[in-house]
Amino acid sequence: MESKVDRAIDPVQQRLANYAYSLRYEALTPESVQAAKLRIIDTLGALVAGFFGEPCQLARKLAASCPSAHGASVLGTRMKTAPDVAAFVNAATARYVNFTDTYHWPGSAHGHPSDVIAPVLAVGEPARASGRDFITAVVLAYEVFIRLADIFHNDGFDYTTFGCVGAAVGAGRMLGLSESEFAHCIAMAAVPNNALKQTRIGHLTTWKMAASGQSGRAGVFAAQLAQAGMEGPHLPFTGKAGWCAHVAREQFTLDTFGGGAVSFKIAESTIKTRPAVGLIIATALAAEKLAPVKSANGIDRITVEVHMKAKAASGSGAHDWNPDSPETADHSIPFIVAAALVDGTLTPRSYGNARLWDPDLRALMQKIEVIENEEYTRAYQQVPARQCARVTIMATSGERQTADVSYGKGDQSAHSSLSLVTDKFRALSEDALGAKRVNFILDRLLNLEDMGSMADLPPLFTLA
Amino acid sequence: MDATADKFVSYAAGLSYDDLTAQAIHGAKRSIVDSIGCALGAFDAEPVKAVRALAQKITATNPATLIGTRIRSSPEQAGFVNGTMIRYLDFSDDYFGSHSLQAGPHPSDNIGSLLAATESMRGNGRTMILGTVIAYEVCAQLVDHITLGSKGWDYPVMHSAATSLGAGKVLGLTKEQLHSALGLALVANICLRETRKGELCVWKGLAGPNGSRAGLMAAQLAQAGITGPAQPFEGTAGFMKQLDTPFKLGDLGGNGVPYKIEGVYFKYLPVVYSIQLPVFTAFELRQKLKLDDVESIVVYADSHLAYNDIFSPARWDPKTRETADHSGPYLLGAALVDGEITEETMTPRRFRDPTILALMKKISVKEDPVYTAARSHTHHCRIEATLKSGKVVAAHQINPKGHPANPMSDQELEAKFLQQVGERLPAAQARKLLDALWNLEKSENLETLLAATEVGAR
Repeated sequence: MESKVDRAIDPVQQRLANYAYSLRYEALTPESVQAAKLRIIDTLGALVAGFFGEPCQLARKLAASCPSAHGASVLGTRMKTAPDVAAFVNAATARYVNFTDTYHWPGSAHGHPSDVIAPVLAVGEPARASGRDFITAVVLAYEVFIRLADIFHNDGFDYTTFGCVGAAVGAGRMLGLSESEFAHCIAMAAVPNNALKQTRIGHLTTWKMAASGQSGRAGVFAAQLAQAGMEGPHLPFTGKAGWCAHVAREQFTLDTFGGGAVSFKIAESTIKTRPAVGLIIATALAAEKLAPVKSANGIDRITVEVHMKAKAASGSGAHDWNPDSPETADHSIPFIVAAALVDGTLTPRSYGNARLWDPDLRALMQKIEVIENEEYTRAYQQVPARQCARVTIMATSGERQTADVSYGKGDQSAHSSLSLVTDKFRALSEDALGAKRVNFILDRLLNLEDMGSMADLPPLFTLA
Repeated sequence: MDATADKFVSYAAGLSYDDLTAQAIHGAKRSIVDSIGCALGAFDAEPVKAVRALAQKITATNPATLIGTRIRSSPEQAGFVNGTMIRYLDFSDDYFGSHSLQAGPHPSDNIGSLLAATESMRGNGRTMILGTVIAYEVCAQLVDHITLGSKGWDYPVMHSAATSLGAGKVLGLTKEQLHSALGLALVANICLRETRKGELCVWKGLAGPNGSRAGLMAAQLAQAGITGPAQPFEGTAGFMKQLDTPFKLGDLGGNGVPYKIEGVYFKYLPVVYSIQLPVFTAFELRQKLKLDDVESIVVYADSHLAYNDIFSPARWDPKTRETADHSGPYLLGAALVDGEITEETMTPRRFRDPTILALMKKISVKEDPVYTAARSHTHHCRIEATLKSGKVVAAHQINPKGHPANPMSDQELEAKFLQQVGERLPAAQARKLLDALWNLEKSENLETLLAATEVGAR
C-alpha cells in the first residue's frame, strides 16, 4: 500500500514499538511476574465485586447486542462478544467499585494501570495465548502506562489518554504484531483517543468507570487495525501537531524501560486496601482507628487533616458534602470518613443506596471539616512521597480523640504482598463464587504461567 | 450548566422530520446519493477490503449492512466500514466555515454511521434524513465557530459530536440520553492534527469515519444508560478550555434559518477540495500556452490555500496516493501536463512522472489578500505563468463547480454517481438504486435499500 520512503522518524514511537516487539517472558524478573499475577488477581476480584452493579449490567446489555462465538468472554457470564466490546465491558466492570490498583505520586499523572488487564485478556482469549504470553503482555502494558504517567503533567487531559496506548501495546502483543505494525498500532492509539479531564470534574457519573473501558476498547481497536495492515500517522508523538506538543505539552524521551538491570514498573502500582480514590484512602484508615462512632450526637466537630492535593480534589466542593452517586461518594473525604467512623471500614457496600443516603451518615458528614496540614503537603511533595492523614473528633464535652496514618511509596510494595491480595480477593468474591471455587481460582491464577491457553481463564469466573 | 451542550441537545431533541424544509430534505438526499456513489467507487480499495474483513467477523442482534455487500455487522463496525468507503477516494462532500484557516471536514464522514444506526433500529428513510440533517448541522456549526487545525487538533471529534446527536436521534434517545451521548463523544475523542501532516498515511482516510464511529458508540452507551460527564464544552477541563476554542452558538437551522446541509460543497474532481478551483484554472491556462515555454508559474490564492498543508514541503515529492491527492503542486502539475484528473492521476505512473515532477519545481503559491477577504462568499484563484520570452499569461476563475454558489445539478451528481459505480453494478440496478435514493423519504426500511447496493448480486 505504501512505497518505501525515507522520512523523519518519531523516536518516541520507535522506542515504544521496539520495546513492545522485543519484550519476552524470559526477560521478566520473578518479581515482575509475581507483581503481574497479584494485579491480575486483584483486578479480577474487583470485577467480581462490581459485577452486579447497575452500570455494569447496562454495559453487558451492550455486549449482548453483538454476540460472537469466536470473540472474547464477558467475564462472569458465558456470553462472548467482539473483543473490543469485551474489553470495554470487562475493564469498566473491574473499575466500578474503585478498588483496583492506582499509580498516584507527585510528579506523575495519576491513573489506574490495571485498566489494561481486561483489554489484554479480551484479545488473548480468542488468540488462545499462553499464560506466559499474557503475563508478558500485562507487564508490557503496565510498563508503557506507568512510564507515560511519569512524563505526563498536563492536568487538562485524563490518564485514559495514555492508558489507551498501554492497552494497545498489550493487545498488540497478544496479536503478535510485527515491529512496524506496533508502530502503526501505537500511532492509531495515540492520535485519535485523547480524553479530557472533564470526565473527573465536579459531579461524577457512570462515565468515570466507562472511560476505563472506552480507552481499553480503543486500544484493542488500534491493535486490530494495525494487524489488518492499516497505517497510522508517521510522527504521532514528535510531529508538529503530535502528542508531545499538544497533549503532553512537553517534549520527552523514553530512555528507560524495565528489563536487564532496570526493574519493571508494574511493582510500583499501589494495590488499594480500601475502595476509594487512592489519594484519600489514608483518611479512611485514620478514621477506622476511631470507630465505631454511633452518631453525630455529642460531637461538636470532626477535623480531617490532609495534604493540599487531597483537600483540593476531595474536600473542597459542595458536592463532597452531598454526594449523590457512588462515583462522587468514593471521591468524597467527608463521606468516606463518616462511613469508616460508623461502619468500622469501607467496602464496596459502603456506596450502596442504603449507606449513601443514610440520614445518620449525612448528619455526621455535616460535622466534618477538611483542612490542609502543611506538613502533610510537604511530605506528599518530597521524594519518596508520603500519604498522611489525621482525624480528630471533638466532643461537645470537650473531649478529643485523634488518630493518624502515614505511609510512603516504598511501604506500598509491602501492602502488595501475597496475603493482602488473596485476602482481598476472598473478601470481594467469596459471596459470589463460594470458598471452594475461590481457592481453585487463586491456585490457577497464582500459577498463571502454567496456563496453556487464556481461553481457560474466563470459564473460572462464570457467575450468571 | 453547559449552555452550548444544552443548545445542541435541545435542538436535536426538538427537531422532527415535519420541521424540515424541502431544501433541507433534498440537500440530505443529494449528500446521501453522492456518498453512496463514492462508497461504491472505493469498493475494491485495499484499506476498504481490510476493514471489511475485520467487520465481517462481528455479528450483531441488530445488524447493519456493509455497502456493496450482503455482509451485516454490528452498527458501529458497519458504520466505520461504510464511512471509510465513502471517504477513501477523497471525493465526498466538504464544508467550510468562514475562517480563513479552517480546513473543511467532510460532513459526509458521518453518513456511514447514520446509515448503520438507522438500518440497525429498522428506521425508515425519513429517520435517516432527519439524523443526517442534525449531524450536518452540528458538524457545520462547529466548523463555523472554531478552528482546530491551527491549534494542532483535528476535526474528527466534530464528527463524534455530530454523529452522537444525529445517530442518537435515530436511535430514539431521550433528551437526557442525548446530553450524555454528546458529552461522551466530546471528552474521549480528541484527535491530533498530525494525521494530516507531512507524508500522508492510510489513517487520513479512516480518521473522520472513526470519529463518527466514536459518536455512534457514545450514542449506544447513552442508550444503554451510561451517564456522561458534566459540562463537556464549558467545564474547567472541557472542550473549549483545553482546546482553546471558546465560542457562542448562534441560530441553528430551521424557523427561517437555512439548514447547513443546504450549503455543502460537492467535489467535481476527485481531489482535495481546496485544489478544485486551482485545477480548473490550470485547465484554462493550459489552453493558453505551451508548457515547454514556461519559466515559472505563480498561483494566487486566498490565505486558506496559500498557507495550506497541500503546499507544505513534504507535498513537493509525492510518494503515496494519499500524498499525491493532497499535493497542490502535483495536482497542478498533473492538470497542466495531462489536461485531466482521473483515477489514473493517483497512480505512481503519474505522480512519479519526471515531466510532472520537473514542472512542479517551477510552481509557487502566493496569497492575494483580496481573495482572502472574499473567501466567505466567493472562492478565487488566478494563475500567472511567466514564459521564457518574459511574456505573462494568466487565467482567473471563481467558485469551482460544486461550490454552493456554483452548484452541481442533480443530473451532474447522478453522472458523478454513475461514473463512480462504473461496471460494479449493472445499469438497471444502478438506476433503481438512484431512484430509491432520490425517494428516500418513501423508504420504509434501509435494509432493502442497502441490499440494492450489492456488487455482484444475481
